[in-house]
Amino acid sequence: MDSPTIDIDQLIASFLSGNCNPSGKLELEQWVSLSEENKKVFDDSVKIWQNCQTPIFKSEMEHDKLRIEVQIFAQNSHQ
Amino acid sequence: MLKTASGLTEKISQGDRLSFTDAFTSHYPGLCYYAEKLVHDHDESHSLVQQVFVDLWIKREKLIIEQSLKAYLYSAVRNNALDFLKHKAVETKYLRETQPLEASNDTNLIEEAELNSRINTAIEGLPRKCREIFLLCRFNDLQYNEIAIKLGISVKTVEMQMGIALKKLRIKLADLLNTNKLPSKFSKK
Repeated sequence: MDSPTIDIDQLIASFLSGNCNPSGKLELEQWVSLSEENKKVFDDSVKIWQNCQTPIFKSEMEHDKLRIEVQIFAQNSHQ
Repeated sequence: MLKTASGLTEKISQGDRLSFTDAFTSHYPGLCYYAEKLVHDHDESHSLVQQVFVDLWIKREKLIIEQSLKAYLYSAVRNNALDFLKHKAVETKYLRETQPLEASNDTNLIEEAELNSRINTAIEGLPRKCREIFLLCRFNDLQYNEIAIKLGISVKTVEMQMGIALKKLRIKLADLLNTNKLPSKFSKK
């Protein structure tokens, strides 16, 4: 089996995000049933989608780190 | 004197700010995830974790850490979370709900937090536009046509970028997927 094409990745993403129409769902079902490899690609994509939580990005981390430094400075000033 | 086998904690105890920053960068996202699971409050969870890092630095010369730094941090966050919940007068309810966490479930939650941190890093590594579209779709629950309007792009572009995002995440997280470290859960969609 060839490695999945970008169209399949688009189809999986549209399915996971609720943007897939009935014919797309049927096409995806058929593709998944073709091989174990296809099924793994689909299952792995589902796991990634389900395990995503609201992320903390660098900008938020920088902001929070600054808050820590301010608190440390304030506590040191009191000592 | 801080007692631990870890070089990182040794350096922190000696006042090495770079090591302190390393510890923050490595553990902060996972700790926030863990805290939020315990207190169910985004802002409060961040405050609790920040306090742990403030204490780590302020008390660095007196702290006794006999386990790993990671274990110490998770334990400290848990203690702060329990204190917070006590003050919120929901201790009884909380304890009833979380007593099973005392053993293996708490370990699972910490592992989940670590995995979340990995996924976080993988999402951050996506190309800018691709990441923006993925986040709008996954976390703001926007449909493709809504994202297209918001960003002034075509629905086809949204569709393409979502496919690219998913493929890149699968590649970046292949080690977790191949070792079955990512659990299957009920999806919100």
